[in-house]
Amino acid sequence: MKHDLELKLQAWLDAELSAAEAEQMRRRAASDPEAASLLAELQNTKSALLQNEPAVTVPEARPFYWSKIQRQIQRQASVRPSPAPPWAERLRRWLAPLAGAAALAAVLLLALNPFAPPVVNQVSDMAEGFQTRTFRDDSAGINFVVFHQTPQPSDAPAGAAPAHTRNDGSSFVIEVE
Amino acid sequence: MSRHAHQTSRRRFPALFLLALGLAARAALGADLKLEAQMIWGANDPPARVKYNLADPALAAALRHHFKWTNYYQLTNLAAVIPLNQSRVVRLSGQCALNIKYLGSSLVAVDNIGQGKPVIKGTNSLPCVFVGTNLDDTAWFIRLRSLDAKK
Repeated sequence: MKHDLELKLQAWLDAELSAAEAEQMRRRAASDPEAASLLAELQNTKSALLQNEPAVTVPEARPFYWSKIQRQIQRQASVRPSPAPPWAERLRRWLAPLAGAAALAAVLLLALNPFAPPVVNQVSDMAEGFQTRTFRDDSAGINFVVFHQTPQPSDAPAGAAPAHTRNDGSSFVIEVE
Repeated sequence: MSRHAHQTSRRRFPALFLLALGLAARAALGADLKLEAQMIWGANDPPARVKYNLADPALAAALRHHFKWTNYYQLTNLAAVIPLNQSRVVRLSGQCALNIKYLGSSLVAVDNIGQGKPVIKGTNSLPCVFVGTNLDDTAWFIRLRSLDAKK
């Protein structure tokens, strides 16, 4: 027997079918011995359950009984205290966002580096007859100050021999031969 | 721990905290400058013909990038400790000396003194290099840098 037919027989027995379907099931039970046998078995089971089910008497009237249950549920929901978090947990709740903010601030400070000293590379004074030029090599991070003496007419008398630098490790002397 | 010891410990904590704060501030400001001063000679002479050692390769590369000389030799290398807001004279050769005042935060005021006379005066962040040319188409360089920043 098909499972659908079994279910329909059971539904007929429980008076859940429409009149047309009930009539169809009645004819089927009359013509099909297997269906009739199942129907009889289901009827027996149902009557056995009905006869042996213990009767439970609700102490109060039904509406009052259900409202009592509802009040009990509401009371438990309102009375149940939320467990107090331990101090470590409360501390963690405060510290976690603070630590995050501190880390973010540290990253920003490192990136912007507002405490880095300003780069200074300036000449404030020089002797007469000198020229200077300053520049910075950013890749090497070095400040350069280049200076040299401007040639003076009196420094190079006509016929003077070329100058040479002598350096012996302890002094730098410009010699004129 | 007894109550007395506990109270003593509680009194010591702020003092230790302030001490640590002071030390940190002092370190941050740079109370003393450990300065290195190097004199470098820039020339086209090959190393085989020069009795000096080649300069620090990184410095030589930086100098070669800006100046025309092929080789850079280290003539002198001196170290000095200069307290904050104090000056020290660093004599690099018989002709050249620097009067260096440490202004804090890697900043120095430098008086270049050549042949006993002030030549150029300025304020510079470290590291810095002073460059002068010689009449024989060579050059000298003085590099100043903080030994703490070198690490």
